[in-house]
Amino acid sequence: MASDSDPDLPVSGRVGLARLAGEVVAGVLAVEDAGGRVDIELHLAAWWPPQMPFEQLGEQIRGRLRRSAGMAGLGERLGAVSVCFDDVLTETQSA
Amino acid sequence: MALLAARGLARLIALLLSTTVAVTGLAVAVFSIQGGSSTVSLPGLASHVRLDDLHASIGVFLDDLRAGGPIAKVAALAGTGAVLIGLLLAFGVLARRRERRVLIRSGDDGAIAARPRAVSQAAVTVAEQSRDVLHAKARTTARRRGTGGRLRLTVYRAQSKDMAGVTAASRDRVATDDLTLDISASRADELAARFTMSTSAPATASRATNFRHCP
Repeated sequence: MASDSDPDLPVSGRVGLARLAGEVVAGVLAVEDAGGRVDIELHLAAWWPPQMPFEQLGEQIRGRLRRSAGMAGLGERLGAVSVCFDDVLTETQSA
Repeated sequence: MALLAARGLARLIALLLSTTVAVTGLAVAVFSIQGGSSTVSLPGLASHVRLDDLHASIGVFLDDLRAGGPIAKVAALAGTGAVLIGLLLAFGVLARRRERRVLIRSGDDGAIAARPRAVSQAAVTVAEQSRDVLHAKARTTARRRGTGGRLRLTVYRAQSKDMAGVTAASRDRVATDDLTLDISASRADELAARFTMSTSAPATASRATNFRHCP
């Protein structure tokens, strides 16, 4: 989930750190259980003004993540996907 | 920034003071172990605090305490209570506070949530889009259980503006029953309900927004 590189999504991962496959990804927390399923928690900052409600935006993000995991052949391993909006950024803050 | 600096300074001073007191007490205790009649010694300390006079005044109580009975029981209960209160205070100081999140949706496939600060920030941004509003403050509290939370918005209007009008505009811009955020504003001067916290809960949910206007 590289929201910074996806201009269609008005969010930006920037809060918290996680290490996925040896790579540190900002705003992502991944926990793998004994069965190999991975729960993902995304901590995001939403750009103001958002183009849709938070709930809809969160569902869209989760859907994209699940589709990406499925295309990568990792859909079976993907567990719960949670989205938390940690901040709201305005144009002034992002400048 | 100034607030953080003040907090840091206060913590530093508290640490230094407590460390100084602890070290001083430890030094006095160590030096008091020695005998003799010097200033820092057990006999010297006993003389300083007039233990003889104190023993004379509470000697009867100590005898009752040693003999058992109701006084000893009360003293034991008081001591136990003091220990429990100390443990409670230590827990209150040392326990880590965990910020609750405003839960928007939750299920087996994961949850969608927002930090209260983000919700407040969004509400303030929307409220301040009105040209009649000079300044706005918001405070959001997440529910302990279940989805939603409580948003309190304070709107500071211009002195000459109609309070009822500002109220209506603010209420239209920021409304909440349950904090399922519905943010669709794109321009500051767009009219009602551009930013709403619409409910996904039953319509019977109580309206939680309080509007307080300060001239």
